[in-house]
Amino acid sequence: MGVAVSVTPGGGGFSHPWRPALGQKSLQLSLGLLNGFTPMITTADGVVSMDPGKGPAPALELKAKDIDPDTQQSWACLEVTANADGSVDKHSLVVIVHRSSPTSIDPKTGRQPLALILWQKGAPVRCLPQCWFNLKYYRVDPPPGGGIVKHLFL
Amino acid sequence: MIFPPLQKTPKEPLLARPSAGAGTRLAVNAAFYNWSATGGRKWRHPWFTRASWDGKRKQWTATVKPGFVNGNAPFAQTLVSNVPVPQQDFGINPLTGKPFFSDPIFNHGGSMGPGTSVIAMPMFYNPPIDLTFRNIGFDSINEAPPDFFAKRGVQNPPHQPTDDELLAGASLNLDAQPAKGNRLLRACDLVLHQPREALSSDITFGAGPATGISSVQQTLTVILANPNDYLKVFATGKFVPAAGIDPTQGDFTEANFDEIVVSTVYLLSPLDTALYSAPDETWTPYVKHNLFWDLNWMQPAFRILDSDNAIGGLLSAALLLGGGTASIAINFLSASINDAFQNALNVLTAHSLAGTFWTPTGGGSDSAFPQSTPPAQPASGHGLDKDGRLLAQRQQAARLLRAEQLDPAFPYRCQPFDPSLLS
Repeated sequence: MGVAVSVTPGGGGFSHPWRPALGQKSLQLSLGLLNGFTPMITTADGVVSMDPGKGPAPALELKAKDIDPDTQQSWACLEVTANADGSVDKHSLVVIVHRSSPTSIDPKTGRQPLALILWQKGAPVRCLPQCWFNLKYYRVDPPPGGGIVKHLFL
Repeated sequence: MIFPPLQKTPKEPLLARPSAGAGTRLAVNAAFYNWSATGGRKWRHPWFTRASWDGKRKQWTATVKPGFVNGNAPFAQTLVSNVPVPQQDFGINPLTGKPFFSDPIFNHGGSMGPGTSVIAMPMFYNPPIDLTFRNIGFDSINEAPPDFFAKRGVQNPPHQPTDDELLAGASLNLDAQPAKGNRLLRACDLVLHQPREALSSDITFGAGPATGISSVQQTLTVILANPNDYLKVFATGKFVPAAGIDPTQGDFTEANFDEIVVSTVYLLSPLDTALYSAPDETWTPYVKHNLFWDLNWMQPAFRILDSDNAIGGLLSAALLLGGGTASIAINFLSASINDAFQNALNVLTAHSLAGTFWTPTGGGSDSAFPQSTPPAQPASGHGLDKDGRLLAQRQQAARLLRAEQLDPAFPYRCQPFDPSLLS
């Protein structure tokens, strides 16, 4: 009875690269760049490009088998397999994947977490963004005496 | 002259008058209604800290919006109430008149009694963290307030005489009272703690000629992080960076963790509060942030050195393997104990395993945001109207004081990257 006018207040949000939006079994991510290149993303239909000129924005497929069973957490990660010389170009493998750990033990692959997904009873219930800017990747190979490969996301 | 009586405007029905809902402001006059939208809520960055007063426990607490390090959420210790486990009813013991198995010796099947427990909880559950404070300002020991709070009435601590002045006959100023209008200030640092491997150094001296030490052996060993340690955020009255290495004590062990301040919570008292008062709900909280974005962290690798310019006269360096850990034995010459310690410290510092926190901004090794231009200041009155000019100046000063912030404007500030990790 009567008239009341309400307005959704402006502000409060921050439109940034890699911004996640959680679905029932998928995660939508806004476009972000690595070294200026558009990454691929693992969807229910396979690995596709996130290039906005190639159709509607694809969503990352989330599978319950890919979560950490102890903590009920999983991560949307950007994985990079650089060229032999450590550089990244359009031929390098740069893909957004769903993983149970934010760090990679594969010496050839660097991994940067983009969003944390919390699960409950086999379903994703909440996601938290973890990356706010486009990324620059460097691979630092070990010295001749031996050591570990460093994958740096700057 | 006779004026006609004022005509009262008829009251409009209550339901016909619109009301302001969420997010709006309504101004009404005889001619029209004027709606305007209220300001939007400010975006809260990672590590955003909010202080609040727990009236039940008479305790100031803080919650920190989740920030992440390498994708992992830190833990925070928080107080939770014990939830009693329902007990099975075995009836009443006719000999004692009390329920069977009610004696404490039976441990009640492991159920917890009433009370609270401290547990570590991931930050994405927003656990409240109890705060402990240090004094700043007049009732502190030589800690002057930041300029932001000095403008708001926090006075400097009284001058205490130096040693020379005491010798000259001056006395300690123990009964000083502040001028009227003083406010007290308390501060608490919230710190991010990252466990890591660290370097330890052991030095032994070989037999030498009568003129001094001739040979020194330094053994570098990597020590692991404490297995019970974990990535966490904790509150402390004053953050003191871990020293670890103390050459004067012959201690050459790094701290096996990295720490960085997340934010500092300040509490400002009402005017003329009694000195040394504990903060309560009448105090006003302010937060100054040091972290604004999620972080990556990495520490340098322990590399096997075969030569090192940090020490002169290096005779040999040999890799030792014992107990599953790698150590390096370095032999060098030294003419004095001080030189030996300095050389050992140089080696330890040059090969430190201290890690680096940085913000991935996409800017490569340069992660500084561009400087933002400050807003133009409004004119402060002009012309021959002296009173108007003074009033405009006072109003501008009050506006500037209200607008002053402890934190920088968006995009805030980032943690710089250490380019030495690129080598």
